[in-house]
Amino acid sequence: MNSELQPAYVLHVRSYRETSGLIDFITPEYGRLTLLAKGFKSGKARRKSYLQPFRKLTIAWAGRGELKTLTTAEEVEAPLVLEDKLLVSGLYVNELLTRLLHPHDPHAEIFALYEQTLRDLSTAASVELVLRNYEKNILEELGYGLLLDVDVDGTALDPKSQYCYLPESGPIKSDRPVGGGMLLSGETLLSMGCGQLRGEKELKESKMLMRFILGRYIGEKPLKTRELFRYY
Amino acid sequence: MSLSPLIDKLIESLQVLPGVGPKSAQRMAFYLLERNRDGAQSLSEVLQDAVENIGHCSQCRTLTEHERCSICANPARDESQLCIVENPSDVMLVNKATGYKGLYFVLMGHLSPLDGIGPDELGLEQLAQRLDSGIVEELILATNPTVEGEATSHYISEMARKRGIRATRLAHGVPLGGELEFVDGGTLSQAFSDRRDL
Repeated sequence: MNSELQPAYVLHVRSYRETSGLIDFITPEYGRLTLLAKGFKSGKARRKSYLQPFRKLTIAWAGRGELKTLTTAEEVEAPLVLEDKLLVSGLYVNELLTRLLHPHDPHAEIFALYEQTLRDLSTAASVELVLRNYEKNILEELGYGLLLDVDVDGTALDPKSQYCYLPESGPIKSDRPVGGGMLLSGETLLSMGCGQLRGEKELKESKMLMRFILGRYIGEKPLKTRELFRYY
Repeated sequence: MSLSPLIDKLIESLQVLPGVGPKSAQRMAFYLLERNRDGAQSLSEVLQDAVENIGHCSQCRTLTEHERCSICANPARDESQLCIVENPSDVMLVNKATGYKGLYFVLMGHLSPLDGIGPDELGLEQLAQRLDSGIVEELILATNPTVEGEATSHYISEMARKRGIRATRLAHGVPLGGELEFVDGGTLSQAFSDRRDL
């Protein structure tokens, strides 16, 4: 079966045999998929330089078995400039996507979200804000969206009050942690809802909340990229 | 059809080499047995010896049969410069191609969070101790120009920055003897932005 040309980003490259690679891609119509890139590391093939994360490609593949072979890969845009801390953030975005999205689960919205996040990272002033919005939106696309405008009873959130966020249901007005939830201010929840976090406290609280919630969906193994943020 | 269990075993064992499949393994086995028994004998002895005795250099972690490799043990080498590479083969390459007189540190891989390789798995603690010793004045980061290699080099440069050590990385650019037409866009844009005065 030959596929049609698909826009794609590389998520991860693993070496396979001597000069080949197993490459994870994200595409809008086929979701996350792994393709075999034959001989991509050998001298003749110039593809190796752009079969790297954070570059927009169009790809096509062929093959009948479980593992298809990459047949075409072309770079369609000038690569985004992601350096230093942004590079590590980009790796985090990739790791989170790999952990949350099942293979072959087509999700055009997630592809668009991923692309937008990379663009935002390369231009935005606040990396933290981009990452928080990405985490919030990806959960929403996967059907695990957070409740950020009303509490569990449907009452509008009060920015002056403290809430306890319960992962399965949502925020409950409370000054103390109840039922294994996480305590944070109504103001942070509302800011997260509109994607505009302001100030140290809101950034910190939303980070803790996302960590708490994501922990439930990514399983036991911690996200490895977090270790790379050690120096920030 | 199999000739003998021992020959089969030899053919199978030769396939541990990279790029060697059943067919080349068979050719090698017959060549060694029919035409070059002496070579086979010495190969087996050297292989045995190497596997038993070669370990990692206590200082730079490259492969050596001594406690410290010949580069680390050489007093004429400049201790204030430290070049970080991913693999032992890179040490040989840099040593041969450049007039570099400093020392090396071999990472034995790169940071790759999606493969579960973080700073701890890479043994960067040992590098941190070396930087803390105060002898190193310049770190030369010669990791591969892949996304993971860049992330690794960035992480290490932060380690150096925290300790006030100068960190440099290899220049990215157009290969010598090549033509611009055949250079990919990413490399060209890097080379363009890193252009220098003549």
